[in-house]
Amino acid sequence: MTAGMPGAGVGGLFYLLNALWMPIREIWLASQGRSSASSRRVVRRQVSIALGILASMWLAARGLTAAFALQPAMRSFAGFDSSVQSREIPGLLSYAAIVGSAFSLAVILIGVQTLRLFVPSRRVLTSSSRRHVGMFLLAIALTGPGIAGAQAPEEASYRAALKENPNDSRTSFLLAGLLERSDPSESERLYRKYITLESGDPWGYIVLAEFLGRSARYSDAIGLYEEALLRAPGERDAAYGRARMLARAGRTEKSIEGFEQWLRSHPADADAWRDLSRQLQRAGRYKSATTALKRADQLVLDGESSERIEYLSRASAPAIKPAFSFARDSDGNTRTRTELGGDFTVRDGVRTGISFSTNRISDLSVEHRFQDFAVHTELRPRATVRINAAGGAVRLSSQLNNNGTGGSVLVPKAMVHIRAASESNATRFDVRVNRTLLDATPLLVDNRIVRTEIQTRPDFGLSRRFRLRGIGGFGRFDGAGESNTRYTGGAGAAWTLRPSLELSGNFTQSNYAHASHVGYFAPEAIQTAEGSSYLEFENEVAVVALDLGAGAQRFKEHGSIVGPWRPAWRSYALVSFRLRSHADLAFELDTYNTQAGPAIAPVSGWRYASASTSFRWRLP
Amino acid sequence: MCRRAAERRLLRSPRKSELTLNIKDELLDDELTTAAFGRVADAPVVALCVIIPAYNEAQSIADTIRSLWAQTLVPAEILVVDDCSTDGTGELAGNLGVTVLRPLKNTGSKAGAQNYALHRVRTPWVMAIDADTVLAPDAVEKLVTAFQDDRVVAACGFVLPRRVRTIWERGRYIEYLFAFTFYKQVQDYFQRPLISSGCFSVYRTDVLQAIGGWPSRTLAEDMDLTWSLYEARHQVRFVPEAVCYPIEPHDFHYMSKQLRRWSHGFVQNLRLHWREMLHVPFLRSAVAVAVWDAAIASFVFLFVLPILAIVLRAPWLLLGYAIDAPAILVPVLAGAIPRGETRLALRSFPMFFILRTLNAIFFMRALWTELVLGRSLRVYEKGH
Repeated sequence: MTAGMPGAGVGGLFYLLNALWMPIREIWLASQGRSSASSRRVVRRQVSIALGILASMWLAARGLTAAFALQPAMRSFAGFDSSVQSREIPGLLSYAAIVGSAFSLAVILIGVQTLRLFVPSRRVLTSSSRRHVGMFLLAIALTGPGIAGAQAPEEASYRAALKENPNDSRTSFLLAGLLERSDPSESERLYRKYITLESGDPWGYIVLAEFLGRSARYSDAIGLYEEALLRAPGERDAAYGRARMLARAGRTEKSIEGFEQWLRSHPADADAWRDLSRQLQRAGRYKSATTALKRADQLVLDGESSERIEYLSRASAPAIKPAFSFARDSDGNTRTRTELGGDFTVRDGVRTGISFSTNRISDLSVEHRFQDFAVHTELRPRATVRINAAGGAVRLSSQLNNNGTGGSVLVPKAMVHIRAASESNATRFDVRVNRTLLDATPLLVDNRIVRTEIQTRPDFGLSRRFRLRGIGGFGRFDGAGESNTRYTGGAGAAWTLRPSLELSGNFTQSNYAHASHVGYFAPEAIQTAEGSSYLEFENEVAVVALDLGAGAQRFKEHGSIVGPWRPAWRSYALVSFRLRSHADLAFELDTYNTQAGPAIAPVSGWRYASASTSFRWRLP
Repeated sequence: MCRRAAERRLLRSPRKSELTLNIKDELLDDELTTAAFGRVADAPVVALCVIIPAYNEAQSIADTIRSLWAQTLVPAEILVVDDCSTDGTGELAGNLGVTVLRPLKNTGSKAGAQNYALHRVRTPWVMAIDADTVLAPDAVEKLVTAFQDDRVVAACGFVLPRRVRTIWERGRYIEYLFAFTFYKQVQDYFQRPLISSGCFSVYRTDVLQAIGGWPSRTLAEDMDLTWSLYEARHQVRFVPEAVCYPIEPHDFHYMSKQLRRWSHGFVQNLRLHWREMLHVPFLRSAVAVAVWDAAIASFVFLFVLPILAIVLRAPWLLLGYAIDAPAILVPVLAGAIPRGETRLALRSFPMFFILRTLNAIFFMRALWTELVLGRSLRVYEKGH
């Protein structure tokens, strides 16, 4: 069966472009060791066909042109007499068709991708969640034909039965199941009625918990699971279901506790070991996750486990990371940075390493080189707490030594970044303390301006999708005999359309104590109003993240009046490819067009772009 | 070895080297006679059960069964579901060494007949084949290679009309050559063949049974099943080396029945699967462009082009009906030349444009009837 009209227009173009894309994909697969002789043969064949199609289209257009140009009879048939019109016909036919088809195809593909973002999958059951299948079958068994569809007659008869006997628990349960999709609030009311009437039945609580879980009402669902557990402490569906619901709610630590508690008494439950492994992975405990997965495989072999075990082993393996970046701004400052780093897992949740980099900063007339090194550590004491700490120094070469005595000088630097969230993920807290040398321009490096700053970003979830954010910070700038301070405060709101897509708006104001003459722009006040979006996409081979912000900024210089609002924007893009199981190749692009810069700007009206690439290779 | 022991061996999981089980002799001793059924004497047996749904297929079913016995890899069992035929289909099949099942009443659809036999299947693989389809001698052997990848749960082969004589058969021949040489191989490269063709496909029995067998809720059960498999994160493959030859409609009467069933089946599946399908990469784009071609391109083809040609007095616009002929000819020849069918393809080529126009009419009608009028076609009419 062939749907649509084969060959014509958009469908043909879609397959033509896909065929031309195949060699690029094949190169990509080859880089991951997933190319085969048969797939290369298919690519060769299909690309040949695609090129043949392109050649035939070109020849057809040329042939038509020649025919219309040479044959008066054809021009007459076509309704054109002038040679100009004749010459236009093939162009009109071929170019209009190609442009029209390409435009239509772009609209279709963008439309499908957009629609996908707003239409969630209804699929709740997965092939791996066998216990959920069990729950589903249980619900079917209890609700009879209710879930299967064609519900009107059943609904009428259940309602009639409830009218006669409002306290008929079974009918309440059946009708609740029937109304889950069409009338969720009535369905919930009936489920609750059932558990009131049959308060000793744990299954009522479990079914209602699953129903609420599907609407992302995790707190209510977990509470109901706990009620079910009180009534049936040894029941797998209650204990296991609660742990899974905790995982769905993002309460990873509690979920791990739940699975571990269940597995202490039921160590032969392979599914529970697998789910435990997933949660341990989520908590960053890769070694424990590997152990749990191997345990599951010993009980029941799963074809997908070997790849996951390899991934987890690699995630906890030592890694080395070379990186290179290049940046340029609107004042002609360019900066290159070449870095080599490495890290290893000390124990589950603790990873440490070192990095060393050489830097070159230059403007139109001056060039400086300097090195820095750092020891860094990442800690995950709990699933919801992540601490990054680093300490090291920047080594300035002899001509940068202010004493003019030759040799080198070390400027210490340090960073602590703490991210924490409540168990329910409703409240998050982000604190960053940083001491660093400002190195955006040769002048700043010359003056050895050191910034010491603390920034906080509390984040409160008002609902599942809507969050409020605060921004606060204090910074001190020292160097070249000058000292300055900066206060930052602000607030914003974020709307999560999907877990991978967030829109936000925020307002911030920064105030410097006084103007600066040592190389950075320090107005009395800077105000920024910005709308931004954050999009993240991930599949088995790549991660793409886009952070785009646009808005307006204005500033007031010391002793002056507030300036006008001017547009400002920024963008950040990350593309990270997974090469086989043990290597990642990442590209990052960061740009600003700003009046005063998010951290520091040398002048007002600053434009900046940086590109970097890094390769992370995990040792076997 | 007794028959039961042989069956037990057949039920073992057929991984790679165990793919074939050379137990022909044990089976033949009991029931089969090589000469009678045209079976290849030394052919190994594969742990595969074939289901052939049949309603009044006496004209063609013998060829189908013989082509199965003549495979280089012979199926372990062939089940013919005689769906209350009145032309002696069941008796004819019974004489050819297959098991014939006969429901108490007509099941009403091809899927219904297939599901009637599915619960009897004990082999790890099950094949669906139409009663008017014959296979190339190595079709089964080629097709089961797809299952060396454990993630694959269904595989289908290359389809070509058995007879290429009338306008409609010739049009279909070009359509298949084009689609299976170009479109379907691109789909397969991206691991999403649009449909595992109902006329010749092999499935993993446990997955098929778990998913509820062949769905009968639409008129295109193969499309419904394929898309359901994708939504359940399974893989489907297309094996172009495995070739089958169904009888295609030879006249307008049967062709219109088939196109009506296909076009309504497509729209019904679209309504049923659109939400889940949005989350299946490549498939969502392939189906979206197919819908566009079925709706917008058909509309342009049938209405906009002729109206513009008349209103603007520009007959050259009518070139739009065949402007893509060179582009279609390339994959057609790429498919025909290796088969030594270049002349047949060139002779048949113009008929494709007639069939394509008819296709556009039926798809437009199906979209209008199913989506606008809300009248869903439910009666399964046989039309090959």
